[in-house]
Amino acid sequence: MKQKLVKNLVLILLCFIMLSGCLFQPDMDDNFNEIDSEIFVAPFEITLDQAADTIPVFFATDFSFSISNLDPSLQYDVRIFSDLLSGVSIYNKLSGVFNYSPPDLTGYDVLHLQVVIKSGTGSLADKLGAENIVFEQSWVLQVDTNPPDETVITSIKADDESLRIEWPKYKRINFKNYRVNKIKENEYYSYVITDPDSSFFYDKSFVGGRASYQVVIESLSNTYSVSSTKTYEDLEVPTLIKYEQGSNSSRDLKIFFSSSRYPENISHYEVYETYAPNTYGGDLLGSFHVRDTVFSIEPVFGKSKYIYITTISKQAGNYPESVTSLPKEYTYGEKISPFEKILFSRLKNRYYSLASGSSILKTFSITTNEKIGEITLPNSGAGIQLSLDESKIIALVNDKVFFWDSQTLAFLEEIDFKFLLTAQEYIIGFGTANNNRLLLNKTSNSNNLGSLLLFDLNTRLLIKQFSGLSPSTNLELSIDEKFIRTYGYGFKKISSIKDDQISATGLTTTDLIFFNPQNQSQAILGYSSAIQTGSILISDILTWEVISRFYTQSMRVYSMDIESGLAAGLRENEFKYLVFDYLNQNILWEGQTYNIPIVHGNYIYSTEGVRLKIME
Amino acid sequence: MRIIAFVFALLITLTCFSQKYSITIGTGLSQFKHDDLKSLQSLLEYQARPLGLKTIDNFPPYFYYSGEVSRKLGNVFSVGLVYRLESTGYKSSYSDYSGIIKFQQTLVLQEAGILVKYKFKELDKIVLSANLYTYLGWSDVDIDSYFNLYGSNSEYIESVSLESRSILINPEFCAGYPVTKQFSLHLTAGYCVDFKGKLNAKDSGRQLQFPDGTNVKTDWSGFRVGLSISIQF
Repeated sequence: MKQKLVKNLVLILLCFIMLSGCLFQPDMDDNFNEIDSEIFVAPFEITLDQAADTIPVFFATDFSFSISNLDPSLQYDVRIFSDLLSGVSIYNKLSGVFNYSPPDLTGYDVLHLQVVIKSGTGSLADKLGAENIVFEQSWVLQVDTNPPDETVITSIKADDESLRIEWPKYKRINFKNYRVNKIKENEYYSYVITDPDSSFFYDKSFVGGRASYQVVIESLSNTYSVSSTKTYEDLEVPTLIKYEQGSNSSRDLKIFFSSSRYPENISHYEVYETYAPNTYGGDLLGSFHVRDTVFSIEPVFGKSKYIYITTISKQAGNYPESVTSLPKEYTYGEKISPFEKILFSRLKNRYYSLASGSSILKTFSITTNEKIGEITLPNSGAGIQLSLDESKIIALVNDKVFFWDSQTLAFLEEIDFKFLLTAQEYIIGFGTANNNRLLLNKTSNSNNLGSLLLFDLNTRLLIKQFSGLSPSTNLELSIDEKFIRTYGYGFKKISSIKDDQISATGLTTTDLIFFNPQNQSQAILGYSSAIQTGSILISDILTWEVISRFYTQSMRVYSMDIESGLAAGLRENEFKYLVFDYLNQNILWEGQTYNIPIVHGNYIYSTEGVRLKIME
Repeated sequence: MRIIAFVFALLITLTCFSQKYSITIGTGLSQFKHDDLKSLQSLLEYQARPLGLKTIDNFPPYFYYSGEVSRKLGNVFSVGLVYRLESTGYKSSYSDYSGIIKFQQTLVLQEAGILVKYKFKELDKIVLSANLYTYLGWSDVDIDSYFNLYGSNSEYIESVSLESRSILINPEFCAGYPVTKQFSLHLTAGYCVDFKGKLNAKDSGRQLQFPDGTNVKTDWSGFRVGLSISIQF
């Protein structure tokens, strides 16, 4: 009985231990609480100030957010974060500013704004802030913070009457502007282009020369890329092309110059002239419209001029720029040989007739300067003299006088005056007078004594003869009831005989003799011994002083033209030709030694050559 | 359980020997103070008070298990060796549909010591004795924290293993009833005094301290009431 009791007790003890477990185990009760999880939040609005389908971002940007109509009794947080950035900005207010500092990126990010409202259920998650109602709105950010791609100038060329610089179009969204830097003649210019599609620039200030360009792409994130420098050079600035004498009787010289390749950039041309090469500045001849490439100047006889054409930019006010053409010299005529005799004459303002020591007599149009005709003189060689009548061209060659029609240049006749001469005499000068009369000057070869012979061409009879002329003889002539008085050695050459005047060159190389038939006491204008003294009038306008300026002892006056008041001669000691206007008291031209422009205005002073040539 | 059954079978076989020795196995209910650990738990609860934590277990009395071997010295004294296993724990928790949070401690005390018994009176078949146990105790303390919000992948588990050592003295009174010549039943009641051991982390050896720097100690002190069975041989 007792053993059974012990066994039972032991079994009870073992069962008790098995049921309770050897070691303490905490209760399974986890203190579960029944809580209502139903939540309701009234609608509200989330707005962002820069809301758009995609928001471009190029640098740290402030976004202002605002939440409206949110139940004020709710506990909430506003959380703003992005996909790419770490960290969350948490706000406990319904409006604020979020600063977005973008990563170095060319791509997209997404900005999230969450309104995290506490559930308010009182649950463990609610108490721990993990049970929330999250309202989220997102915006796509197009981020471009990387520097612009490298660029290059693809072309610089004249285009559309200006200078066009091109480069590839920049397509990224961080475009801020293009900037074209220009360096010209150590001056720096900068131009800004804000249109991303305008990947070109018309340099409105470029009018020629050499300029360097550089294109800069500037980004909205204040980074930039710079192209390599490209230099453009265009030295074909406007320059003189040709010269042309003005029409009709104009003395002007028309000058044609080439147009600029950049007329759109040009305000106008300014033309300057100087008398020395490589000297900028000078006198302003005028300003010319950009489309006007022809201008006229009034040349100064015999002077070499240098023309500068300055191109003035339209943007001169802001960007002074001009290009000046290289100086161009222009002269008329061509070289003639030294000591070559100059003869000239004019007929009714219509023709120039030139003669020289050669056997060719050439006639030119006043208006066009073109050669009209050419006469081959007989007995080519020395001794030829030329005179003009109203209708005839008359040449004295040796002892014969030849006649040509001045209009057609047809040969008319020749008259041999040998019958008037002795064996020792020869004709040294001649002239024409009214009523178809001819005045000849014959002399002996030994002492220059000679006679004047007035010859009627119609009857071919000698009208009058003045003999015994000598340096010491004062001789009075009368032509058409007008008198001529000579001094000194008499006439050697007679240039012209007009109604009231006869002009001639003297017997010596230093004499210049004028006659005033109406007042013979004043007829002598000068000779070698009288150069330094006196003042003798001819036609009340000419003074001896004026003549003396041009006429020196070493001066050989070859030709005179009373009507035009021009004379030409040679300074033998200097080997220079001189043309002067003794009526207007000007030296028209004093040539370089042996290098003579021979055209001035409507007048041609020449010997050799028939060309009207412009030499640059 | 197998070990206990094996020991029980062994004791049966020993009854064929003389009755100078005895082997006793027993169990009982222990009550514990653990004031420091309670304070520590209170501190945790205070910090987490908004969460509505509720104390589920607060170091409740729990069963102990013991075994001893003794030898009679004369008619009234016995001496021997004793082993005792005690455990208790703490748990506070809150849970609802959204998740759960709980803190719990599991304390296990293994004691080994010596005993001295003094039989001071026999009443009929009831033998009264005064026993004194002196133990060296090893405490293992596991502090577990668990947190989980459902559906949020926020499950959190943290365990800290601590240990302490202390000396315990447990005087008790024992009333024995001989069922047979070899077997007897004992009813014991006493009080265990724990001289408290400092808790140290098992891995680092660092002592567990309150925020004010004082050490947290285990305190297994408390009443012990038990039932045991012995076999003499």
